[in-house]
Amino acid sequence: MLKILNKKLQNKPLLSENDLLTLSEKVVLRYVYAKTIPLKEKEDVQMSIIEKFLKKQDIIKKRFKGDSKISTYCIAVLNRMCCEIIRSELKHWKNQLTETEDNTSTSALKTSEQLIIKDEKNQLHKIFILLGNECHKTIVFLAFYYRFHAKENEVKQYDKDYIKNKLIELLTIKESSNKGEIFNILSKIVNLVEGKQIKSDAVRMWLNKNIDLVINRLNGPFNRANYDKESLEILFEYYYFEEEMREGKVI
Amino acid sequence: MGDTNHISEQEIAQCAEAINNGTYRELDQAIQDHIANCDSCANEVSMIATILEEEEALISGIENKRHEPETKSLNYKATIALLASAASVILFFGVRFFSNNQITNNNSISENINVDTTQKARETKIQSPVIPLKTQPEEAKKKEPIKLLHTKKKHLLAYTPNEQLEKLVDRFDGATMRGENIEVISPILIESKVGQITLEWTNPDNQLLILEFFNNKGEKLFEKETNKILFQPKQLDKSGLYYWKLINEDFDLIFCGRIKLK
Repeated sequence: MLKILNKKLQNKPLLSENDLLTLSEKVVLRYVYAKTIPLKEKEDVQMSIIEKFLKKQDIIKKRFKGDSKISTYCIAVLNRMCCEIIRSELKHWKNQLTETEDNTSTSALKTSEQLIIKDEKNQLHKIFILLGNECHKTIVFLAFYYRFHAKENEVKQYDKDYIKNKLIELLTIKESSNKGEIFNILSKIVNLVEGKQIKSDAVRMWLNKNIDLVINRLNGPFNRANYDKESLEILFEYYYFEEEMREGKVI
Repeated sequence: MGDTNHISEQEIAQCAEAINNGTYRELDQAIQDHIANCDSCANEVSMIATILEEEEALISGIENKRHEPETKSLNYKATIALLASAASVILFFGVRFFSNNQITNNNSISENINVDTTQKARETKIQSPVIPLKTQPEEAKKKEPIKLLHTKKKHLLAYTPNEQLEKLVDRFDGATMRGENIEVISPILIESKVGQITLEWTNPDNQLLILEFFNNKGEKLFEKETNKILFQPKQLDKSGLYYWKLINEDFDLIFCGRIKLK
């Protein structure tokens, strides 16, 4: 099937000119929106990636295996080319980006606040999914660490035997608990659910590592944001209690 | 995997689609493990997934165009028709040229030739429109999908359900109401023309109730406080999908329903 696909592709461009223009613009705009590429440079970057794409079209065609849609594959290729350009030009753009920030009106920022929060929550959601096997464990443990109540559907995703293991009871927040007690409880849970014998220090190191990883990914690529542990907690609260906030139950 | 250190663009595309389809955990474990530990690849996947999410209609349009049947045979036929008509036209003008220069009284022959060539000219007129029209419909075709896409996109966007609010509505679909005495009479989905909606409920204790209205993006449009038993949301003046909530004075959510305006 791959041979047939490759034969069909041989004589046909991967994308029409219009589609190449449109998709390259979408890719570049994401980085303009993230203030990684200055607005002035948008067209230059777009033309550069289109030129690169057309030059390498044959190789790009050969590498397509049919595991995704062609347009998705092309977006991934264009994105990678865009990132290469950004890496080489970022130093030169830094001054332009600072100027742009100073000129942004605060009223414009306020009106787009809701949109930004929504985007950031989506970003956080994808970061959690990309943790793979540790996705639900990270969410459950972060929630407990930040002293948020446990959500049954999340706990269930982490441990199918959560009822038998009484995880909801274990994850009940006591206001007086200090960080040491929190990690003791978490290590109990890890040993119960995963059949390990680790101490609270190991859980603390694991959780701190994952917090740092999430922060790095929120801030990347190219320092698009400036999250720290405090702002992550705020964003996580928005993310974790999204449903309750929509119902008007503000925590 | 692609490079020694990172996954390939093909794998990134595959992962991005899987995230949006909810099938990420079904992917190759080696890829998942790599992404869990590689910020660069994770950021790329995340970026592509975001673009796919936001540009769903655009990507579908591009993919649909790719799967349109090829018109090779038509082009081949059109080429033959072009050659045939060009030959006919040359023949027609050639014969006319010679017949005009000839000092002959053989009118019947020239008439026949004229008839023949006129006939051929008619045929070419029938055939030839195929050639110039070949470009016109294509050009029209090029613009049409974009126009249709915009119109369809606009239409689709106005009625696209909001995931979060849909979950909320589903909870109230067929379930008992939360409020003790308050019962919502309006159905869970109200479909009507703009300006013709009435929302109704019982309120025997004359409680102060709050009505909230949202668009299909989840944005709150307006709210209304009332102790009555009905309300007509005239502020919803455009067609589309909306959601409404009924909240009691203790801020408990009593009901959440859908409104489709045409």
